[in-house]
Amino acid sequence: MYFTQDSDDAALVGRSAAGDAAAFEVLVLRYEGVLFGVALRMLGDYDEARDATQSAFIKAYRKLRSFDPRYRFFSWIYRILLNECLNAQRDRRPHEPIAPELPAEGTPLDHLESTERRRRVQQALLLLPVEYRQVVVLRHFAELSYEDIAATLGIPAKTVKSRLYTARQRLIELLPGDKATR
Amino acid sequence: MTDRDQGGFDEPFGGPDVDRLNRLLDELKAGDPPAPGLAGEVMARVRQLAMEAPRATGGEMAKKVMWGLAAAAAILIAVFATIGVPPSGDGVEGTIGAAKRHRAQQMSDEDVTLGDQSVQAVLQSDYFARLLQDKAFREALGNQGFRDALNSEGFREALNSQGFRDALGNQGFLLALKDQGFRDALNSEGFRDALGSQGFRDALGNQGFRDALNNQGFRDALGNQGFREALGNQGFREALGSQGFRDALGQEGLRDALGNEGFRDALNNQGFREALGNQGFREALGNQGFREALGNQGFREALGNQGFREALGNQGFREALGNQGFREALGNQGFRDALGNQGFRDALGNQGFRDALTSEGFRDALSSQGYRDN
Repeated sequence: MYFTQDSDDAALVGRSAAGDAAAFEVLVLRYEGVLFGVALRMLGDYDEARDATQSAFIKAYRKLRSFDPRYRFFSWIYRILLNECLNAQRDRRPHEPIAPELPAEGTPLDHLESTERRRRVQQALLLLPVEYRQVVVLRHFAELSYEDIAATLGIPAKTVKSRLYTARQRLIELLPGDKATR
Repeated sequence: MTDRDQGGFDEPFGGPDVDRLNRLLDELKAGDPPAPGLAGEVMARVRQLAMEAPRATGGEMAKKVMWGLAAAAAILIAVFATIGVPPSGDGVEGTIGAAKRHRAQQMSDEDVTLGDQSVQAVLQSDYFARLLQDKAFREALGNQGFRDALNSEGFREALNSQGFRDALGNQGFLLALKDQGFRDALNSEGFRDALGSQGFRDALGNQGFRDALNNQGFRDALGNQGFREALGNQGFREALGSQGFRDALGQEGLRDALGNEGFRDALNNQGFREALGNQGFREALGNQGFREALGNQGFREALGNQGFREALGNQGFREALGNQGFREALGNQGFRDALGNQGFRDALGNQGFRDALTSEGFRDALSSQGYRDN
């Protein structure tokens, strides 16, 4: 989904590095959603995810000259974002992840149950080691194919599948009996 | 679009539990809040950065160069603080700290500490100030290869050599330091000794010479005293500009010949230098008789003769050079002219003919065009 614009990304990076802020803005608008979604699932905290995403874009802008156009822009900025997330996670005080509010649907009881389920799922995600969490996040939330995850993480697709399998098994164990209603 | 959206969600490990998990993750995703204003905040900061430090300017490069200089200066201080500050060179008396022989161990952080008197001595020395004011040296400091050289034991060893330290003020030397072959050559004791030769240091300003440093034979030759003396010879240094000559330096015979004063004098002769590009000539240099012949003025003049140089490619001719009479004959213009004659050169392969050359009457006869034609 995101990698169809690779060559265009490279051109935008080139123009941005030459001082064209408008070109960088295109990249920001293109990737802010997916990167913020990834950060949110990696951190489980809205404000931290927002800060991490913003920092990732700023750092990427500062380092544009070091970007190697042979690689994907998304892979590159994803790694920057992951570092930001890990730093934020390391520096933070322990707190409960906040489940995002869904628009009211069904009965008030359904809504409460859904909110509680999402909180537990996010908590389970945070219990996974980073290498497992990130494959789940890239697969389910960034909706990348195995090959794209492999390219982003710089690991073989086979390893992606293996990690994803392990990650799911652990999540299943962490979430016994939970069933989504939607 | 992903394969999941297309209904081809190729999950390797499906089953009811995985389906349940997927629904839970989907539910979580559906509740993901947007991040309104995020792009605007990012771009506000980006535009601020763009105004603070205009991109695509030399600013970053200048910073890199400065860091490079700082790093190199730090290494230099560390090196000099350990082995002693080199003398200030011509016209400046005295040194700050006696140079101590530095061997074996690599530099470590413990070797230099802030406030160390030796470091202060380095920083305050005229020598260090002079080095840092030297444009070529500063450029060299910005060169990774040069900084690498500062880390090499050979380089630090070389700093113990007065010649080497004097050479630091030589433009050619500084240029040469950028050359990997040159830096490798610094590991050679002979090479470092050679740096004590003014001629050698002058030679370093010659591109051909620096190219020659990439030749292992050449670097080996640097261990040869005659070779190093030859480096003081302008003709020799010019000859170094010839690829053929540099190749020839890989030959033991040539390197031995360099120890021969006659040979070195011969290097002043353009014809001789051209001859060095001739394979036959270079092979002849492996012949002791030939090398002795080089001490003969007539012989050296003969080297200016194209026919003579071609004759050097003839084995018989080279053997003839071992004959004293033959070498004396080379002082005879008629004889030398005769060398331009193919039949004459072929005849040189005949021992009887060469013996005949010891006869003065025979050599005189060679002066006769009619004799040679016959």
